[in-house]
Amino acid sequence: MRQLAYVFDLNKCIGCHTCTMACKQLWTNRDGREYMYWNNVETRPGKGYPKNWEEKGGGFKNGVLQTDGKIPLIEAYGGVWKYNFEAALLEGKANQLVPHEKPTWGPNWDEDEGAGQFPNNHYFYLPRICNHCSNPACLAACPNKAIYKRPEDGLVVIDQERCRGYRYCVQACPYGKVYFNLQTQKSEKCIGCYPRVEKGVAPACVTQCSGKMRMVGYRDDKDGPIYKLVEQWKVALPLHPEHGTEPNVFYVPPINTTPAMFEEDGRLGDTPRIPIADLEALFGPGTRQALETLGREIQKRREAKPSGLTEILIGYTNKDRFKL
Amino acid sequence: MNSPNDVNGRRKFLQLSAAALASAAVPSSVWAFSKILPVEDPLKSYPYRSWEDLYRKEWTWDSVGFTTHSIGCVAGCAWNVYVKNGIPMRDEQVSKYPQLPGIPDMNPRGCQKGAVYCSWSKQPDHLKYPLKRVGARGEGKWKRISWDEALTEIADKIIDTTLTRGPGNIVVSKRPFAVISNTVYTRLANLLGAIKPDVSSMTGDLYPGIQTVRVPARSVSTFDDWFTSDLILMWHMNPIVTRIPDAHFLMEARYNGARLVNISVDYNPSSIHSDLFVPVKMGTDSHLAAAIINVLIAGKYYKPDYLKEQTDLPFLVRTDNGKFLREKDFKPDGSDQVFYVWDIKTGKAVLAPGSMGSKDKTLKFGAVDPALEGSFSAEGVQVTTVFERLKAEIAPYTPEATQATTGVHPTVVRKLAGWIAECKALRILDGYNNQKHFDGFQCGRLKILIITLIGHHGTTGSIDTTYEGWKLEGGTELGAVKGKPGRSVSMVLAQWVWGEQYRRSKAYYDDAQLHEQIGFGVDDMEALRKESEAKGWMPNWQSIKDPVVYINAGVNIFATSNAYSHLAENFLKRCELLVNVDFRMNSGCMYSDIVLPAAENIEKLDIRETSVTRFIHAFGQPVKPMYERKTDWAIGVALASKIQERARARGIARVDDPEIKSAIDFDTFYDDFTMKGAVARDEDALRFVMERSKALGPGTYEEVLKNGFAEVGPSAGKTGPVPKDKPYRPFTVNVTDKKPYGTLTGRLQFYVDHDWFQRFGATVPKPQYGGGVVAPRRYPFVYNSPHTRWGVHSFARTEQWMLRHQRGTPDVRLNPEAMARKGIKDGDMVRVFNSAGEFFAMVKAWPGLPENVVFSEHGWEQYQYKNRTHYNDVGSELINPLELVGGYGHVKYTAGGFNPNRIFNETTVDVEKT
Repeated sequence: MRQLAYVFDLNKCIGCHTCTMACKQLWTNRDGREYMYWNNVETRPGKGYPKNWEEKGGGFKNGVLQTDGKIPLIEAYGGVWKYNFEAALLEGKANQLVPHEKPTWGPNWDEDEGAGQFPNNHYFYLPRICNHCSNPACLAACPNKAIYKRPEDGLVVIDQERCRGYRYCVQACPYGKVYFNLQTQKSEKCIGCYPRVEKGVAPACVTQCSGKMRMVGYRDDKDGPIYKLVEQWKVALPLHPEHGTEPNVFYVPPINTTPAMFEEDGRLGDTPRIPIADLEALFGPGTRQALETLGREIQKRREAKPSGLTEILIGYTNKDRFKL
Repeated sequence: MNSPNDVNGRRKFLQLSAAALASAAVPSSVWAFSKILPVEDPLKSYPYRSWEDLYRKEWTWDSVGFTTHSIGCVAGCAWNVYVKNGIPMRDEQVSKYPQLPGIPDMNPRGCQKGAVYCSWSKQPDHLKYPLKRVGARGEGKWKRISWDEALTEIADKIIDTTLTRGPGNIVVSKRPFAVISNTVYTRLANLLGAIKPDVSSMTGDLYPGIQTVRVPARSVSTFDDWFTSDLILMWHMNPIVTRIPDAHFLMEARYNGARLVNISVDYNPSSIHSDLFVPVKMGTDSHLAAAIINVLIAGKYYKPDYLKEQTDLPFLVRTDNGKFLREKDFKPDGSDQVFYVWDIKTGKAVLAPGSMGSKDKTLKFGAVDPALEGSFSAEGVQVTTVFERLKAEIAPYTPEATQATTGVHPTVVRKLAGWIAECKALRILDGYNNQKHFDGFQCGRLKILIITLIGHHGTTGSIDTTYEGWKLEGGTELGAVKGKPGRSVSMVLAQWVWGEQYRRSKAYYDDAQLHEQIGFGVDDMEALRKESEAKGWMPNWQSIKDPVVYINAGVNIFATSNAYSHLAENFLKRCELLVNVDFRMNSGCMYSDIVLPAAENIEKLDIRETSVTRFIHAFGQPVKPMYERKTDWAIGVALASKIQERARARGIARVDDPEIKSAIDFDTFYDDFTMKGAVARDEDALRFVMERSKALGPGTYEEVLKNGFAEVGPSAGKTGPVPKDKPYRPFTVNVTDKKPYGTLTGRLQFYVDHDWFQRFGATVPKPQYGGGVVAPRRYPFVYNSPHTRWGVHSFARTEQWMLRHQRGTPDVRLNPEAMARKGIKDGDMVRVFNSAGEFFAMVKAWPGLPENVVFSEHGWEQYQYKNRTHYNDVGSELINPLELVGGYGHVKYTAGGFNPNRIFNETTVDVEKT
């Protein structure tokens, strides 16, 4: 089986959500998928989408599928608000354009909040799609065996004809990335844009990423950016590897030491702005090493010495970043 | 709380999607028998894959066309629009820009607003038919009328107003972006002798301070040039939020060894990827800039040879009256636009070449070696240099002395100044927010002085002042009408008068405090405005005309001001017919008497000429205008035709317009507008523009429609050629070819000896006053309303996917500590208020803010607020008299260049829970 994989460079993510909207317009703006964001971008630290997904459970412990995972409440996904345009703008029947319900939560509700106190607060952006895991908990959980990995690209898909809507997959995915379509009564999720991949076109969230922070390719392609960043340089790490699902989306963690924090009197201090432990909790034990490598290679460029790593991360053209 | 497992939840959920039930993605097909057969191990193989066609079918289309969405944005991006069954379904970037050697390419360009455009265009706030008001203005009650009815009413009112009130009581304002959509209204206004407001200063987007230093002030590299920098200051600009398509160049530059610095009041998203964050107190940036300059001068980090040639710093200034030493000081017939430097070699004052009055159009001094420093006696006249004056005036602004004002620790200033001193290629990203502060005028001069002192302006670096347009002579030619110049005005001054802003500002600002802080009050501003108009420095149309007929295309003239509701109320008293042309019902359109539906971005044939890339972009009309929409050009042509038809029917021909030595020819209006039919169609107009522009030329019309974009030729640059193989950088020819700048002195000019500059102590760049917000101190919060990630001004602010990614309703941000003190929680509705006005919004906690700032992103529509309040309802106007100056070489009224800029950021407020 070949495995398609992604690297998301969080030092290049600008939180613009173009990926989210690209996915939304291509796949989920209709037919019961409206509340789903197969791709979302969340501010970290934060509650994420769906709200508090890190506490939902699922995945594997010591190789054993966890069955106590939760199905997120509708409210956790946030409102799909509709507006009284006609009444307010065209009919003179309302004084204000308002959503049909009082907004209390949304997929990006805590945008830019993060943690800490000004001027020493911090936040960064974490874009998330289905991890197209090598050991998918959703697949393991499906009693109907309607979820499978496509041998040609390793993308995890849910057979929309075989699915019975039991939602064990929604329960089992520790990343909250499987959704239940109430209209069709099936579970749905990111399909890795397989119709595009089959034609040699990278997924929409990748090709439309204005920050140029997404790379895509096959894990066994030793000339590709994925292999180099994950296996060679070891700067790209899976999210929450402890769930044992073996994700195929890898993240370059955010540089945590800059911009420098301030001492009480306004001088620059030397405490890292983002606590390393917080990043290790997300990206596992390889985090420290990855950040050291990054820092070392950037310093080389500051001294006008060559760096193989930064050349890959700059990713000059689409051809450099997408290798299908 | 419900979950999808729960019956109630499920019902609620189904309600949301009930409308779409009929078109369910999965046909309620009969279960194939194979689907219940066993599968062995889906991790290894899966036998029943025919269902996969389901999603494959969703990625299909009938046709693809090109568009861009750059009608309020300076980016310019090429997009494919996928059309199915005649319906525009989806936008995706073209992503085929060529790469320059060694520079990351621009693929893909775009943002989330562009990505949802097709979706937005289908919302009910997008106009379909001409509408006529049937209720009170602003009530939102309309009746659908025909184009013929609408145009007849407008044409007759234009003719009647011109006959009864005289020419010039008609105003035409427009969105100055897409070339044809912009130019159609210029042409219309010129033929009508109408008032043409400068919308750049109206929105607060001028750089009048920098315009005194270089012309044009607003000039940028193409943004791929960011990659060549090794130090980038983001200062009054938040590019990660506002320059989404190009922000990657920052991070790529960083990977290439550059340092990124964000200088900002708040820890905004551009801070998070920076190497240094400088938290400057609101409205004190000029003091920070002065402190940096202080360090650069004290440490002698400046480049004397560069400064001697490229700037006026060696120019001689008389010590007796503070004026430049001029040729006319010694020769009765000498020029007052020719100046002196002190030649070290001969020990004499000698004339400097290159100034406006000089015959030598070069910066070269030849054998002369100008003194940068010193005091001299020139034939008995005591003189010194501009640089000496500057040094003396900047000397007090040490990092230590400015700390109390800026809140920035001296060690931080010195670290930053050290980086500036040692860098090889400095870039300052200078956003529009600077000049929206009272001290933005002087701060702009200080910022460009920083990059000039170290010799990087026009060499390795650039101060990128947001945007400039590529030079397209065809566009100018299409808008211009020989002998019919129209009436250009400063919109800030026009609205000051028509909107009775003076009265409001007088009531809001604390006069004693203003005198204490800046040395004069609102009464003085009003008197100075009148004096400027009387002297002919600023146009005075607002004082002698009324906006009786107002045709407004694509901008919201109330939202782009302070005091939305106050302005609308007073302005409308003077306006008898307000016509808005737009593709959607924005909250300015709500006050219209007639609304005309313009073509959507995806329905028009046009180009965008923004210079942040080396490409122009196509509005390639992937679909024809739907419903009864018309393109802006077609609207102009139809109105021109109707004016001519009505004039002839009523026996009206020419109306003289002696004030501007012109005339309005009503009976040949269509013939004149269309150049006797030569540019009657959209295609004619666009070909006219492209084929007559040197940087484009024949063949580019076809090219841009074939590819979605086209590369400009070398002559597109306003300050120098666009190179073929590297990014464009402005003002380089002044250094390489010693070409004089368009200033009075012909150099980067840092000394202005105009009487008013002397009067206000502003001859050299230095802080104009003690710093900080000048609004009444009785309110605990300063108010900031910068640009948003989720819109381009009002563009996409009503888009539903965008709203779902925010709070669904306008929000206002507060620091959590400040919220705790006020007993306010995240999600509460609050009233933000001062004596001038109020608005209501949902509170969002943002630890990125200092405790004394209330932050509202701009662009929300008035109708999105409770009681039709608005985020600008707490603002009041101020005028900086330095921006009223004229009659001084290049420092004169210039639309898009120099006139009073809108000051938004001098507002204080309080907040309470509602």
